[in-house]
Amino acid sequence: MISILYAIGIMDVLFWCILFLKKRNGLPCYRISDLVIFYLFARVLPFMMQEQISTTSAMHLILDFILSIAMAYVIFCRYGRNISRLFYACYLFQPFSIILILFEKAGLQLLPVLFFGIFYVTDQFWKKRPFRWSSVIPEFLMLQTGFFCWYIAVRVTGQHLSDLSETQNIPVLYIVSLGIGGFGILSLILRYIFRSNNKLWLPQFSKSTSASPENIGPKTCNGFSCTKHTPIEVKDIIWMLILTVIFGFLVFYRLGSMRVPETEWTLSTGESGSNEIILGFSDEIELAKVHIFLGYNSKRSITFSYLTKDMEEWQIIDANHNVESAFAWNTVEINQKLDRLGMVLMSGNASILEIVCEDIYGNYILPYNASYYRTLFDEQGLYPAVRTYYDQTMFDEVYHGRTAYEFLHQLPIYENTHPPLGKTLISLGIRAFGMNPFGWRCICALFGVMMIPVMYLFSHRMFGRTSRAVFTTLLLGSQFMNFTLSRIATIDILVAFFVLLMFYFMYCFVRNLSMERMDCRQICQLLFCGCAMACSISIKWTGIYGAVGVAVIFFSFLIGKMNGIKNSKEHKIYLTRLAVVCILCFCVLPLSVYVISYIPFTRVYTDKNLIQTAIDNGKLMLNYHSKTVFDHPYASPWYDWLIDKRPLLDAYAVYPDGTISAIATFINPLLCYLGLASLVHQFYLFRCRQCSNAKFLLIAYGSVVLPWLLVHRTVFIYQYFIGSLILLLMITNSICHMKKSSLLMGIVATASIAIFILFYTVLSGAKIDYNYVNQSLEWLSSWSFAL
Amino acid sequence: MVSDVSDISSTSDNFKREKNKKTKEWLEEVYIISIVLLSYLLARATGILGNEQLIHVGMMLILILVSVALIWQTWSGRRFGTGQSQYNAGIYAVMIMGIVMRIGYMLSTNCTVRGHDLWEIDPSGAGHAGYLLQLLTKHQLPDTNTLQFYQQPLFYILGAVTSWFLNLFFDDMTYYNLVDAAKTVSCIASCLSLVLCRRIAQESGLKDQGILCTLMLTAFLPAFYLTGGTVNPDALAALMMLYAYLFTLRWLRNQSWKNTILLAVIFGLAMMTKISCGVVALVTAGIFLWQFIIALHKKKAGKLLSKYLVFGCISIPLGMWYSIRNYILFNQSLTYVLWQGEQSDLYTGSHPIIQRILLIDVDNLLQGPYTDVRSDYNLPVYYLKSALFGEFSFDVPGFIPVLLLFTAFVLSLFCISAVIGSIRKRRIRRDYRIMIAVILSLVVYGSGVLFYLKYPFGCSMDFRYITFLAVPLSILLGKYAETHKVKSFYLHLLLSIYAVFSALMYSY
Repeated sequence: MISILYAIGIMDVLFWCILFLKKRNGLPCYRISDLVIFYLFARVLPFMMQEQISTTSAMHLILDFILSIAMAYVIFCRYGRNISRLFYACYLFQPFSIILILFEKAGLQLLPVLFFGIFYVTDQFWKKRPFRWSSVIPEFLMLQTGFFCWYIAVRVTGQHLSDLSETQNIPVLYIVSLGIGGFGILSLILRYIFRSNNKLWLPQFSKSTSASPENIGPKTCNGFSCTKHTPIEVKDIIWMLILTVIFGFLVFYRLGSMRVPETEWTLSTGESGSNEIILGFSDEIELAKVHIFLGYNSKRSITFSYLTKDMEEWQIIDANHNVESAFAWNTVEINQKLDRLGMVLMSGNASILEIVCEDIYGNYILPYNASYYRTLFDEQGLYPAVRTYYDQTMFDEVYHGRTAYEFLHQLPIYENTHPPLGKTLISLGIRAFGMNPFGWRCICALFGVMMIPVMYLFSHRMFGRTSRAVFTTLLLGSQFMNFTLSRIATIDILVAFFVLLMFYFMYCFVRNLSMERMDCRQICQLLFCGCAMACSISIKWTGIYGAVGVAVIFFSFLIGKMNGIKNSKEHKIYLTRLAVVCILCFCVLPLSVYVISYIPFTRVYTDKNLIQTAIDNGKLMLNYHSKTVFDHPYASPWYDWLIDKRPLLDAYAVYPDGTISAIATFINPLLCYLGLASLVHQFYLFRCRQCSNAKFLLIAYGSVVLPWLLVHRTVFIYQYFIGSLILLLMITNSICHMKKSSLLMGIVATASIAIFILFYTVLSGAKIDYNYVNQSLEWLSSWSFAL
Repeated sequence: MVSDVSDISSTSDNFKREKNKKTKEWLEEVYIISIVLLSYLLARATGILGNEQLIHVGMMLILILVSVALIWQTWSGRRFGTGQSQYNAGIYAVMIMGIVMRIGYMLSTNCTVRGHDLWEIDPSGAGHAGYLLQLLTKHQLPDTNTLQFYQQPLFYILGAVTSWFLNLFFDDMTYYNLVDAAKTVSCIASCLSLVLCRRIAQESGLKDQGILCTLMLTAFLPAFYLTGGTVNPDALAALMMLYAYLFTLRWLRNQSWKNTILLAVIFGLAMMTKISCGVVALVTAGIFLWQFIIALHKKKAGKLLSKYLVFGCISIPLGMWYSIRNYILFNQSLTYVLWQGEQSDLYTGSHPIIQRILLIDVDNLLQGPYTDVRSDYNLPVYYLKSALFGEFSFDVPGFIPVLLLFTAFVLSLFCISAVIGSIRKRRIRRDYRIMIAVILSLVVYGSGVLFYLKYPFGCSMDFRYITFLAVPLSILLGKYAETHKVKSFYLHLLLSIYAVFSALMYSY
């Protein structure tokens, strides 16, 4: 419910912001296609966001549609096309109706009619006075804001009218909502009394003065013409190289240790004696802890016991202890005086790479029979005193890194909730550098660094200037999440790389869209776009969101171009060729790559063929992701991503001197909030200045963000990564349309880099003072880097 | 900017008008002092002093009467008169209502209610009460600088004299009555602040509509009621800063010897009330420098320099003598403030600076209207809340404080918009009087931020330390109302609602 209310609130605010931004050019005139899009966003999207869609709410939606169309028709008959469309748009973007449709009783559905009746009568009444009803839009906004707040106060926070006169637990939101609504009504009455019907806020409606879509103000971009394409020059290559090298250095600096325990001792419950390890100590020692570096199997159940003094029986210290993390140090508390320690694996197999025994004084003790378990005690020097991200797996690396290792060694596959290509790529790093933190992270780091030239090329292509490309790339470098996700072996950076590449090639295509003939360059662009799409979908299904965006961009720009075509014969030939190329690039190629990516599965599970494996795994993934709901301290719904509310803490360690090491995944707050402002500005640029870049970016952003509104599983801020990348291009596009854009770019880039430097320690896991993090970096109360 | 100054000065008409004004101004001060003292004497003689219910009824009655008269005047003005008379009536009505609220609050609230650091009402105490009683009983300044004895003495001297005078009329000259009567000084200061606000608005070039907006914000700002009803130097400090602001503007218009000496005396007295009043001196110093540069260009710097010398010779000894005395006697630093220690439960230094200073804690706003000095740490929200309710909770129905808080919140957004608009718009930026208001607002707010950074305690965020800020901000709001005719309708409506709830809050 909260998610839907947020969506309604954001849609309404966006609509009204654009309306007020446009007012300088006269009242907007909407096309039917605009109204259809508005309807999709204002009615269908919130409707689809429900976890369970009931027939009653569907009926309410239909009733609302019929009533609203009837009302718009009445307006149309009286005031004409433009005003009726504007009325309909305003009607759609008020929260009252949709909230009634989704959450309330059917009888209340008649309230829109009442709303219309009041509106119509008021209009008639004021027309005689004379009072122009269009000037009451501020009051209309106040009333709907009041209603919206009231609804949240009542339904979400549980405040009631009876609490109004409370002196202790004051229902603040409830009172505020009544205040806003009351202010609207009071303002309406007073303006009527004082005949304040002058130009208030908005220009007046009239059939003649409304702006037409063709007449949308003096400054229009007129498609892509505001940014002419300039070819890549030597200076661009130099800039690209410099930025890539700098970012590459930052990413690869202390990426992870290349030395972790590698030699293993295998335990299995099959044969007698092969499931136990007995460590003997020359004297009785007070053993405090045992540190175990586990191999590729995680969550191993081991029972720890010691031999009593009389040497007669084994006393259990910790039965069925769950040794949790693969390729990481796991600590087991012993706290027992003993000279024999027994470790018995309770089920399955376990691969243990190293064991370190620590007594209560902090000394590391080597058992006298260490030579028997040679592989368990041959890499004692690799045990780090403080276990940071540098020496072991962090967050989901435990799944992806491990599965990449399993792919490499054709072991049973643990992580199968995402397509395999991402882990196949990670396995290349493990093959090259071994199963150590650097090995499993290096490919992700490489792709993260490669995003720099891709973004540079994209920005250069989009804005046509070196300075703007450098600016966007600097923003990317200081975007935080790009840096953090490049340094962790998860598949998000890989999918983001290919989605960005996909959008880049599609952008190149739409810029080159020409109806006369289809040249080789266009085919190549579509082919590369298809390849990138194939890779992204084969890494993670979120690539499909980007693919949908690419499809929408393709068709919307193609239809736009087709309107200008006169020669129908050439037109048909062109479209036929295009259709063939598109089917090959966007259907055959992605499907093939997706299926082929399952080869590592068929090597292990030989009972199924490639296609069957892909289909079965697809069903499993769908089932898993639709039901994955769990409590997580760093989980954040989509509306929290927009304001950078809850960073994800990937790794955290405390040093003995009180300093800490933390790695947090979140967005540079400057870019996050600037991006939100530029998102609103893109709507303005698209609607008022016909800016095609804005249109492209809005579709791209919508395609990667809006699907998350319909997802009900537990989600995290990194799922907003691709959306946040598009925000960077939006920021550049917005600044390009401003006066003194070079100065602004300089200020924003400097500020962004300064903030990156400020937060570098909690992005990279460097050692840092606790108080500095606590007092200087936790900007929002919901940010927690120092635990 | 230079030409603006010369335009505004001179012309014989202006001088005549000014002469008449000054006679009136002098009388205004006398009236207000008399009204406050008489009302206190009357209330104490009739036994209604501290009778909250009765005084609140009286306040409500007067406010309703004034409102009805104003509505009548407006209605008749709309029908028969001109807009000018309506605004004048509005200005006087708002001033009367503001003064009624201040005096009413002072009379209905005992000095021990919602006080700050009063502590033991005994000459042996080291709070504000002890300071006053020492002056009254021993006729000498404190011989230590413990606790509140480090404070500058002007308020206590004035308080002691006024209290002694008022208590002459009654038999029971108890310690309590002696301390309680001293709040009349705060109340006089608070009432005079309103008068000064009008004068500053006029001096800043605001027209009637702007002055009305300015006065509505200041007249009904509860921080003025609260400081006007307590025994501490906050209200007097705010008044002194306002005098300094007014006379800085006047000096800029007319750099006569008289204005220079007056300004020097005011600054001296201001710093004798509270060292923090020196914040205004930063702006005045900037203006001095600016004028000096102009004079240098005109080769008339010598005359100005001699005025600055006289200014320094008067203001510095007058303002700093007590601090220097304490420095010599107790080695107390010149800007000393009592340090409470990091173990204090008011300590907020453990919270991130950005959360404390820069962000607006909307969650805190939605949790409740009142401050919690022990758990709140966000400066902007605390300033807003403490400007309306101090550090206290009230036993009034919740909707009154909440609506007051949120109208004030929206008004503060208007004020921020006014500050930004004044800086951005070239036409407004050229008016040096408005720019002085902008600079003063920023400097005073900045000083509040610095103070909170240096002393990170819940109580450091109290708006009473920067009550003066309300005036330059209200000047800018008045200018905003004048320049944004379209939005001024909503601004006036908002100010009216704010005034109603402010009055309701303190007379319920």
